[in-house]
Amino acid sequence: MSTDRELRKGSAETLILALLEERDRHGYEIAKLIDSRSAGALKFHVASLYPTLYRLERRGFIQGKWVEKAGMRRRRFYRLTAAGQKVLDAQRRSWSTFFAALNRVAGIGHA
Amino acid sequence: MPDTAVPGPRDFKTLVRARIGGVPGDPLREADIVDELAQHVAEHYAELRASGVPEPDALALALAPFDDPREASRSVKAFADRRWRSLQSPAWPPPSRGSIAGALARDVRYAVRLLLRAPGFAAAAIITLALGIGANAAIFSVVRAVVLKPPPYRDPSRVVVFLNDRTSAPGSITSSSLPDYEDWQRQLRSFEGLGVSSGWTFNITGLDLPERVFGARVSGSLFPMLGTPPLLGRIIEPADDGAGGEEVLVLGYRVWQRLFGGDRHIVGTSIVLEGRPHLVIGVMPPRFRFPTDDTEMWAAIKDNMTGMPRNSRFMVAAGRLRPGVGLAAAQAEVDTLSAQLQSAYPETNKGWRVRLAGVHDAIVGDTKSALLVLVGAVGLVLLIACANVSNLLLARATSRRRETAIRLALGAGGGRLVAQWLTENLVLSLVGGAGGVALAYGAVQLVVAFGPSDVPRLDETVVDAAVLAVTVVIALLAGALPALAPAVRMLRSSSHTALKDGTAGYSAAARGRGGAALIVGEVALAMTLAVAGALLFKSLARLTAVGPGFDPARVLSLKVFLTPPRYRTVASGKQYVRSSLERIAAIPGVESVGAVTQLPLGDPSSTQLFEIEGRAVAPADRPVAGYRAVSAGYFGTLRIPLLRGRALSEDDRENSPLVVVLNEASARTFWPNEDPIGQRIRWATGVRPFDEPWHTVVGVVADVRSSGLHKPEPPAIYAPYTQRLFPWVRWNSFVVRTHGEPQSYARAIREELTKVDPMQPIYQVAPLDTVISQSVAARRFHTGLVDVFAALALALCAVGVYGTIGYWVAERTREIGVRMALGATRRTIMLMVVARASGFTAIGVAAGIALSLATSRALSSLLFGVGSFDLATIATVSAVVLVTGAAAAYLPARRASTLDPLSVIRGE
Repeated sequence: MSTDRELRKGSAETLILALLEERDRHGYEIAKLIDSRSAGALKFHVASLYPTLYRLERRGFIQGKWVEKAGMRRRRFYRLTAAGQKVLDAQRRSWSTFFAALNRVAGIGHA
Repeated sequence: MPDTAVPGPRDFKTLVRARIGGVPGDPLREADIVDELAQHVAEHYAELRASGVPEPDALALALAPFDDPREASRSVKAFADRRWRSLQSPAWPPPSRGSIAGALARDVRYAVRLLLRAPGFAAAAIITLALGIGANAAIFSVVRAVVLKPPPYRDPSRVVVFLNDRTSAPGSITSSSLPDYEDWQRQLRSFEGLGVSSGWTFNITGLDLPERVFGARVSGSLFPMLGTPPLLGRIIEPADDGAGGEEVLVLGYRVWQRLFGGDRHIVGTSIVLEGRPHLVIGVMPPRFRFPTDDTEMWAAIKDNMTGMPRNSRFMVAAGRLRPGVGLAAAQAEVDTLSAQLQSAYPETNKGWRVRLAGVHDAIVGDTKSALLVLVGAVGLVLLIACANVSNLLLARATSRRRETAIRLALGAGGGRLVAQWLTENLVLSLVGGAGGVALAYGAVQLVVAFGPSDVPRLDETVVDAAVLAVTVVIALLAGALPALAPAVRMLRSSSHTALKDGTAGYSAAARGRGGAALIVGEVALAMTLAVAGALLFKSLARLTAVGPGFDPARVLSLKVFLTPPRYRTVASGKQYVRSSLERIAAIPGVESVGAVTQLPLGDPSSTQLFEIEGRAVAPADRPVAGYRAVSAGYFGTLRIPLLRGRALSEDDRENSPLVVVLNEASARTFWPNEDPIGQRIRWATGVRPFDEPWHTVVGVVADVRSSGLHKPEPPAIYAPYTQRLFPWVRWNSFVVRTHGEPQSYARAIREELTKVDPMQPIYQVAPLDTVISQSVAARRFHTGLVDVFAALALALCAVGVYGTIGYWVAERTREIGVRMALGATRRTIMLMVVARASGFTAIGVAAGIALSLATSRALSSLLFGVGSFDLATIATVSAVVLVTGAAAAYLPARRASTLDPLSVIRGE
């Protein structure tokens, strides 16, 4: 049970980091992207998305900043930091190891 | 809501805020969170509207995530997570520019904001400091009231008391005789004025009930010499002390409140004392005491002491030194005069020494050493509290080393950083100090309410401006001390290492060393205090286990003081006692009754010189023994065992042969190698009729602990009260053995005594069990306090061990994970952590034993039946401290043993 939760938490964090690797995004955009890219399988509740973002920011993996542009809403944008990039790379490696292992043992492939 | 009214971002904020409620923590941060959530809702809403969802539905959908109260509260909880609150430190205070006051104000603001952000740390530090400071403030209040505050006399440092000592038995008698005093007054030149007083029990008979008040008869010169202005009216003056004339009375504050309800018109009215009117001329202020703590009213001596022999030493003489005359010079003059008096009156004065002492020391007396031990004890508690705070700060310094490193790198001065660190800790200690004052205030109320009545001036204890001032100083020290070590260490190390790396650096090793040193110190201090507490506790246990030498069960004691004019003659006093004994014995349920002039543990002793037949000794070498007149039923009622010969009986009457009974100490001291039975003695009072006849020793009874459970019984001689009773022995106690609960007989006994004399006050009606426990009340009080402090010290110490070991475990998480991955069992890991803690504790215990030995001297005068180096006590306390240390390490050890090795190694 705890592994499952860890996995989901870990995967959510990895997902967020991966989304921010492409470019800076704000919270609502992140929520929508996770929803669409996981085809609804991972759905973020507001109650857990923002605390997750803060947790990542506390650890120094991402950095948030309020941005105001003329004629636009004031939004808080998040950017991947160098430390975040390192973690993302490491996560990617361990995930691929994990899936490779799963694949060998149970024949579960990931696309 | 009309269709056209599209909510703006501000409205979304209101809507979100209304749904999630307050986010605990910083209001600024809360605004941020609400802002971002509102942004989320606004985006969602705008999108829904753009895709054609009608206004009310879009709004409802966008706000849906906040509708479920459980979800909303989860969200709030997640935000309130303590761990992320440290995410954003408040902006660093700007570099010092402008006034120092400005910099200080900024530092204070910054410190307060930082502390609000770390409530756990702040609470731990503040509570620890409050306990340490509070205990110190409370004890300081007591010490100040009892020891430090000078009595309210004019220029009190110049007032001295005359103490008389037998050179052969120093410390035995401390009062003076009236003829000696009169010689001093005539001849001494070092003094501006002298005064004398004699304890006196006043029976007030004009009130609803007869009342007995302990007071003093004073010379007319005493009050002017002391120079305390009265609260109301005037003081007793030389003119009041002349022969004839009106009897005048000055009331103490307490008796004025208790008996006369603080009536301001009391001055000028008459009070009936001993059936004679006395004019009340004044009321003294609350803090005025002379010569003892329990003296509550004063009358002039007049002719009440006329003819007192020179060896009747029971008056307290005091004098005021002339300006410029020191104590040593005055003592030299007194010595010269004493030598003259010794050669003039060798019979009474040879072998006596007169010593001058500051009036303050004389009043405070032997309470001082016990209080100083208490001061030492709370001092240790404060040191331990400081060590704990220091420990907390070290842990915090570690988590802040990055901040410090950056600020140093950016050019902040080291002094500036230390100043700001100090400010933070001073804010902590001042808040802790405020809490401490509140604790002290409560503690002082308890002390005044429940403290023993025989500690002088204890009831004057207050938390006042002086106590506050000292508390502030203590708090500032307690704030500065713990901060220095971490501040200096941080400056030294952080600039090199912390910037490079977030996890390694100085912290593990240096913090470990600092923490270990603090733990060892803390354990040593707590150990010292615990040993002191245990020794005092053992003393108290030994003391209360001492048999008093009589059987107090089911015995009620009560006192009367038989004074003129109704009991001017010895015969009338004897008649009162005889009638009272008969009436009490006749009460149903009374097993037996006795009378005695000195109740064990309840009365001061009255001693008397005497001669032994056939032994020619110089007057100065005459033996001295306690004098107790008793009724025939006394020994039987208290079940004091008869060792030899016979006890006193009803047949020992006025006209039968004169007899006495010795206590064992007398027999041992004066007849060490012979049988005292049949030997004869006669008194040497200096008053001829009493000194002529010989008395035959007819029996020896066992010793009783008459002047304190901790004091061996001095030699004493019992005489039947029916025979030659000294007229100056006016006090009398009855002891009544009953078949039931003794207190329940009090009423019946009072009623019978009222029938003997309705005007005679009866006081201190108490079971003997209570009298005995009262006699150790002060010791029980001190011991209880020291034990409370020792427990507090141990608790603080346990917190310190817990914190340090917890930190040590946290620092070694990775190491522990590796060990477990390599096959270490959970048991091994737990043992490793506990062993680590026990190592620190053991070193601390060893240091504590050494410290105990070094400080044991201060304690030795308070111990009874146990040496200051008591192996059993030290062993027991060591075991307790070691177990406490191991127990405090248990939680961190458990945490270490339940780590998941995989996640530890994989984790950050």
